[in-house]
Amino acid sequence: MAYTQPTTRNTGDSITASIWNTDLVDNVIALKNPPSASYVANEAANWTTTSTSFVDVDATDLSLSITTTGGDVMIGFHGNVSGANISVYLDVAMDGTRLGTDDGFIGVFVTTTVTNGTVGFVRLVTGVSAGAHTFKLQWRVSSGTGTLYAGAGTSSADVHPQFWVREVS
Amino acid sequence: MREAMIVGYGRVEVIDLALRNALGIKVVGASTGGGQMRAHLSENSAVADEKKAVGVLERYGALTIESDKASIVANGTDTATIRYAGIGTVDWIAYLDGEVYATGEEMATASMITASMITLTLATEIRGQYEIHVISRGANAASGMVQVEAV
Repeated sequence: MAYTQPTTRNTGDSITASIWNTDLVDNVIALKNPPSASYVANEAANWTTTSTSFVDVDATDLSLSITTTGGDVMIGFHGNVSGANISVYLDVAMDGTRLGTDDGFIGVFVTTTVTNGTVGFVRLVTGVSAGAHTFKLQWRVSSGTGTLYAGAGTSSADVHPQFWVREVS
Repeated sequence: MREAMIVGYGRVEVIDLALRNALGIKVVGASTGGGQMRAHLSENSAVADEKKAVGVLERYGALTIESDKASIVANGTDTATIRYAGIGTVDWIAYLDGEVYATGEEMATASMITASMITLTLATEIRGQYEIHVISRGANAASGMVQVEAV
């Protein structure tokens, strides 16, 4: 049920069932269930990269699509990353264009101690046009190898990251 | 940026090194996960480079690497001899319990080559599961792996 911009009514206007349902019922339902998508990782293997330029973490599972009515979209992610004394950077590409630019949303210096590399962000993207949009989690490393734990059964690191998007206005 | 991808799983450091051996500075990196192995190529790469990268990914694990022992004693003196059927200089990456433990290259000196095979020697004082990957060089870079347990 898509949101419809309600019409301003005046004293004496007749509020039919159709108007009531469109302006109130349907919009309340739409606001209760805004366009959203999420993915909780429970993979067979962790994600790894040696790329020093931003690339998709997983072009299939960590690619979320929603059809918005136009406005603001909130994006969230949490997870654990590791590497041998390197920096891992995270960003999100909307429709193929990175939102963070430069070094992305966040960067974290990590070691091979998994719990030192707890990463997460919440990002408000304003002025998103109405229509279908695809959001992909991207990352890069400063050097070496970065690992994003994916609930793959790694000892002491069997953690399950989540990536989500939701229209919020 | 160009990207080459095949379905499969491999050690990302091995894939990265094999790609760099074949494509040099056109390689930005490699990624694994989600059941895929991916090569990331620079902006100045061409379609031909993308095809070459797919070939490298497909040759992951294609080399036959053998060890004369599946298990050695972790006393620093017991050895396993790793053999690779080739005579060119190769790179190697050793993993210990899934983490990169050591890397290096072996020059194909005459003393190393026996019956067209290069031999590497593994000896260690650290117990664990060793995974030795050998990566060939050149445009047709490929890799192979053998496991040796140190007890």
